[in-house]
Amino acid sequence: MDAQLEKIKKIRERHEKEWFKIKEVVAVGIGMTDNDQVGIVISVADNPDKVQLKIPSKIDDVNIKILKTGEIKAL
Amino acid sequence: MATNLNDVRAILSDARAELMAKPNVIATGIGYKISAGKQTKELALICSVESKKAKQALSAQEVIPATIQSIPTDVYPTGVIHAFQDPTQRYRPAPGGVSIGHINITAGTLGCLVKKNGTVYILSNNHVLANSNDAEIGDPILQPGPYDGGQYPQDHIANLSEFIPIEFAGQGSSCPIGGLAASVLNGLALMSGSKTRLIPTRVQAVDNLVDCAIAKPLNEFDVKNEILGIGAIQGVSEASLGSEVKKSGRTTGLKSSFIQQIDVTTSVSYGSNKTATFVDQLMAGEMSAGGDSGSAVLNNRDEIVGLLFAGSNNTTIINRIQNVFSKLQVTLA
Repeated sequence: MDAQLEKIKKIRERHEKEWFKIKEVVAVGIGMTDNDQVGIVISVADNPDKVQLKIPSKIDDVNIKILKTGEIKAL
Repeated sequence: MATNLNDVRAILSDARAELMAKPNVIATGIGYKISAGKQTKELALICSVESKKAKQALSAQEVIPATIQSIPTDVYPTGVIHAFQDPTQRYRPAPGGVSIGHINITAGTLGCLVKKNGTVYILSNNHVLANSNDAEIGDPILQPGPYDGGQYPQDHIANLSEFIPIEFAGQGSSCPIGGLAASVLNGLALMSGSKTRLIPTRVQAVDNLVDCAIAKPLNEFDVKNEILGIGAIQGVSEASLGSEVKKSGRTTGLKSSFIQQIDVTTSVSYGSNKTATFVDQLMAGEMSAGGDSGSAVLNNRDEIVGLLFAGSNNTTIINRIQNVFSKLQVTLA
């Protein structure tokens, strides 16, 4: 599990900056994805389908999930 | 056998003092006896207890008799009964979970009490106690916050002591190279008669870890080392993926959710086109709304794991408490 988590962290580190260039992306984290697998979750303010076209659903067997959260604001 | 309500009332009236004197009994009343998990039509004297204990664990005097004057008794484990308390009201002493704010903001939530060099401080967010970097050290903090009617000086509870500045994207830069270059070029502009000047601006967002600040109470007796609706904090812990968390906040009160993401990088809007990037955050589900900022986030053992500061319609963003304590160099009070 720790090795898998390290792998996920490395993939996320490698790609995080390019994902944040997509204007809808508001957060990137590690969480549960399809089939109860830990993977990368990319939160978007809007248009999840449009963002899905720009980001693969898997990188090196690590699931990438797009989640619509809306804008994240200080409360 | 007394079967009408008035007779049972009279019996309860006689027995109440004796029942309430037993340890663990927190309320008495009349209700229908529950038998084998189902409600019967038989009236009973109901004793509410914090938690049900095995008969063997109680002394003969502590046991609630099965009947009193032929009326059956029943024991309900109800937990501690709290009066409903509105977190937007004025509290003295003020616990965590209630409205608080810098004199120039609307309102946020008092997180909890922390200690630094033996002194007790109130912990909340920078944007609650320090007006998102715009406050001066020593500024008054009101409880309740100004939006909830808090006024200076009567609701002045503390003074801002320290805050960790939030680095906003696109704000003026404190970079010495940028500053030197700008001053040289501005000197040339001045000599050439130009009225245009350069201001060094950070173009790339700088990562933040925390949105936090502390304020020193005017009087230590004006604050209470517990959380409204929860009680005392039992220690400090780490939240893990999937673990249950809860908070008591000014707007949505006591709510719980699960940690859905860890190691989160997020871009947070502070209004007026101000955004800031935060790294190493926790994301939970929907458990907050505007005004809950600053709430202490606890696990199901009542240990503190984070400080709530942002969210969307269906998420809550939380600073890890380890980062908060380490940046402010504080410990739990």
